[in-house]
Amino acid sequence: MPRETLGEFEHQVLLAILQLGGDSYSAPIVMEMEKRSGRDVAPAAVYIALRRLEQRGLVQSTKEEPEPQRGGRGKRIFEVTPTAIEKLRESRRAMESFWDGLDPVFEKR
Amino acid sequence: MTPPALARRILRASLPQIDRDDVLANLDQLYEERRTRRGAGHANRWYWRQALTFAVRLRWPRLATSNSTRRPRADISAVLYDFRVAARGLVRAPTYTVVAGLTIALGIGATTSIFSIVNGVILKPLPYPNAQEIVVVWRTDQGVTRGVLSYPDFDDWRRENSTFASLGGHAEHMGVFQWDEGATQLVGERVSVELLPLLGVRPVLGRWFTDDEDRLDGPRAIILHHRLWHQRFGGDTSVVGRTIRVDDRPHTIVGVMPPEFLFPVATRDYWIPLREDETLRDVGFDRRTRYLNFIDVVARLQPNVTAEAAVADLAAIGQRVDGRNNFGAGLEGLHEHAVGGVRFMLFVFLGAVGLVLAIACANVANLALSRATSRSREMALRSALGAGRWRLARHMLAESLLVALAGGAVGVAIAAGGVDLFLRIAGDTIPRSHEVSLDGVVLGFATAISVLSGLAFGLIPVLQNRSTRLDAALRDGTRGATVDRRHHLLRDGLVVTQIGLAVVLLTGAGLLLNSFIRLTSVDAGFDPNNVLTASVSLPVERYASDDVVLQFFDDLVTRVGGLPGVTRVATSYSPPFAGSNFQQSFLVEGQDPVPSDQTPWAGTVIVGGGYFQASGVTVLRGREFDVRDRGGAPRVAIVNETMAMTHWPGEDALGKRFQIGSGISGAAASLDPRFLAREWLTVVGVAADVRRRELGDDPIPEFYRPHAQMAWPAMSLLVRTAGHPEQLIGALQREVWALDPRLAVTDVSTVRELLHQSIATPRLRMTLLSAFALVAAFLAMIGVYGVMALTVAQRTQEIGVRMALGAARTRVIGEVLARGFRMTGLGIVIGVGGSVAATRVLSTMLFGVSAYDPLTYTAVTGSLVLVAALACYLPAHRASRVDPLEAIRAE
Repeated sequence: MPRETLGEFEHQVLLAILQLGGDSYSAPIVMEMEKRSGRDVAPAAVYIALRRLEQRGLVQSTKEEPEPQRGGRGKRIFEVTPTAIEKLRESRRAMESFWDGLDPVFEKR
Repeated sequence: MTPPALARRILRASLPQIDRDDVLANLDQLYEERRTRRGAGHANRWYWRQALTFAVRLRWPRLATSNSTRRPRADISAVLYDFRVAARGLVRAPTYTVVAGLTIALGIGATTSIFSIVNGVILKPLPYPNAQEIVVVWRTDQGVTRGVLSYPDFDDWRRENSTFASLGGHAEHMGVFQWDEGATQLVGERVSVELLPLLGVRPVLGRWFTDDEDRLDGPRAIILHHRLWHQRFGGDTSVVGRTIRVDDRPHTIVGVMPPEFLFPVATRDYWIPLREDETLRDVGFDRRTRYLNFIDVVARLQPNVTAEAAVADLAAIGQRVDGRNNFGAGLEGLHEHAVGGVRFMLFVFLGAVGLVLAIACANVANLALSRATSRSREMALRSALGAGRWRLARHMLAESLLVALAGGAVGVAIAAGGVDLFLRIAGDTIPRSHEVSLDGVVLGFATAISVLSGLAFGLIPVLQNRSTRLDAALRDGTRGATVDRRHHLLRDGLVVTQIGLAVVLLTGAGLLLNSFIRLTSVDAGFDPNNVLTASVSLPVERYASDDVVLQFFDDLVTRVGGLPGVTRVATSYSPPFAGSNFQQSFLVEGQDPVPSDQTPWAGTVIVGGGYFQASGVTVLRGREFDVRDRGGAPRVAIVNETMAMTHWPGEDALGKRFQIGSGISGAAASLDPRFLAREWLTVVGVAADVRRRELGDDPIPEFYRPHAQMAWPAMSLLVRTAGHPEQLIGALQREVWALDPRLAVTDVSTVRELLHQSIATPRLRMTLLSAFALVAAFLAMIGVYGVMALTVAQRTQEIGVRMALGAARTRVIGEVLARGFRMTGLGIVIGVGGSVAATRVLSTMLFGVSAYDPLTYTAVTGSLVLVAALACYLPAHRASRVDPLEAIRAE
């Protein structure tokens, strides 16, 4: 059964795709996530997350024409679907409501 | 820099096909990024980690999510508990774990290596869509069992058959390619327009040939192999449409075939259309002749058509022409055609490693038995506390399975190296070797045999444990169990089995070794040392007359002869062992005419002046060719001994005459009308027999003709040197280019190397089987030693007491040795029996040795007895050194 809410990792994958804008195949996604999180990200985890997100209709992929400099292999480009955008918006709203009014607590330290 | 190959292989195997290329390309990019940022070492480690992560996450997703909230089912948790306990037990006994694990790893590694060869070469379907429909078709005729076709016959077949979906022809082609920096000769294949679509592999760039391009007057087109495209054009995608010069003619590149397209063999660099019978027209043949056979035929059967119906269909088409009633056809699957020749050998290898694995299992079973024995008290205690037999058995099996799986994992790593080593030793003797890889099937196989081995050596202590009497074991943990005769029997039985199996392998290897030695000591008929050979082929357009051809080779011989270090130079039609196989029919003067299917045939060798001195072939009687044998002079020949004895038995062949007949057979390149001129030749000399193709072949009748009387434009140089012949390769090429810079020098090799290659298959068989046999013997001897050492250790007290009571040392040694020899002797008897049955399968691989060769059997058993004596003596010696006081004090 697909879970209803987004996991933290899936969240990051979706946002990384959106941050990249255009050329979002899996290598740049991994690099983007590493850049933003400052930690190593396992391509296998990203691969599995993308596959799961695709099954759930949250991303869709298209295969590009083969390029000779990649040994004649085409890239699989990922795009975030409108459903996913809606989910991201929801979860951001939910998160922000949790954060509401907590600023003083965090400013102290 | 590329990622580690083995890690990449593991990745390939674990990724689903659909995403494979994409993921690999992405990982390559990330690898490259890491390498530039943090260095190669870091990137390699990172890549390995990613490969294993992918493998684990994709193959065993449960393992990866074990920390999720899902709870394991109850029985699974019990089994996992067993494994956890077993793992702890193994860690506490590192010696057992490492020795058992490595033994099993050796067995599984060897078995997996050979299996991955069998898998890649034999089990995998050919890389064509619906490959099982593709067949190889040939012609049969009086005296011809697997004939290639003439162009008209091929054309009839493809147009008139009603049983094939498609039928295509192909023939080898050697093209001289003109590049900016000079000419090179490459080997490609001429294919009829049907052939590439029939195989169904699409070009990665461009297209297949068109009907027009396959016509004699059509545009000239060429399709490159991926390899050539990369070497010469750096993978430039704009090559399609470009023109290159092949054989002095412009050809348009119309396509590039993918790297995995290797038809008909892996060495082809390009394909050009058959263009009817163009090469025949070039050398002046009548286009419609049906005597010149050079086309191989490949076809796709229509669905639901049997092989018999197809063969009858083709035979009938051939018989319609000129009343050729004997004309027939035959076919076999393309897969069978490609690998049928090595299947038997590979299965023999697989059987041999299977025996090695069995011996390894027996070794580990013995180790596991001693371990179980030393723990029988623990087991008895657990049993007394209420653990059921099944529970105890499960625990012991879990231990064996863990050892086997760990051994299997190491074994796969061994196999990765083993496959590379095998392919290096095998060289060109194994077809489809590029398709061998450690893929999912191989990993599955490795896992399966690991589990089976684990069960095999795990069940033996389990079964033994059933017979342990609880009370006896509890009373005295170690001694109580060892006095049980049944345990001795079981252990000794395992050792006897090991020795028996090792004898079978050693005998097989011994026979192949013996046969190989005999093969290499065959007198080739010439001196193969310090001779360099290279071929030069003159294009007919620029070397049209006999005089020009002869002048060129005379000049070349003079120039090369003047090089420092060269002692003799000559030319010949084909160097020895280079695989050329050109024969023609002839009629002996004064003998009654014979029916056409009984005309004698002989190999034809054209040789330049000085050939016999340069090659070292002895002229036994008569004379060599000399200046008298010019173009206009009477035609002469030198026959070999076999020809002299076969056709002029009891007489002197010198001065006898024979006439060239109308039959000719050989590669397409050797079909030339000049060979068919029905000339009378006078025998002027008799030369010693030469093994021209393989050392093991019986010599066939052959005759030599002087180059001056048969100005063949493609000759090989034989250069005999004072020092290492390899040093002359560069100079030789320069001399050819000094005469004509547009010529390519090909087939550069030493005769020693050609000789070496001609015995590659027997050498491979001998090397591999010997390696397996040595491993088997080593393992079996460890088995003998282990059992003897254990016995001595367990009987220390008994021996000590007896020696204290006055038993002689020699007697103690004798007793221990006697038991060892009983086991060895029984093992050898069983092994010899097994060998007599098993080595029969080797008989087709033997040369000059019978499968029952008594010398081999004696040598094998003798050496085994010696090594076994050593393996028994060490523990026996230790037994005799037991200090009676120590032994009794321990009591």
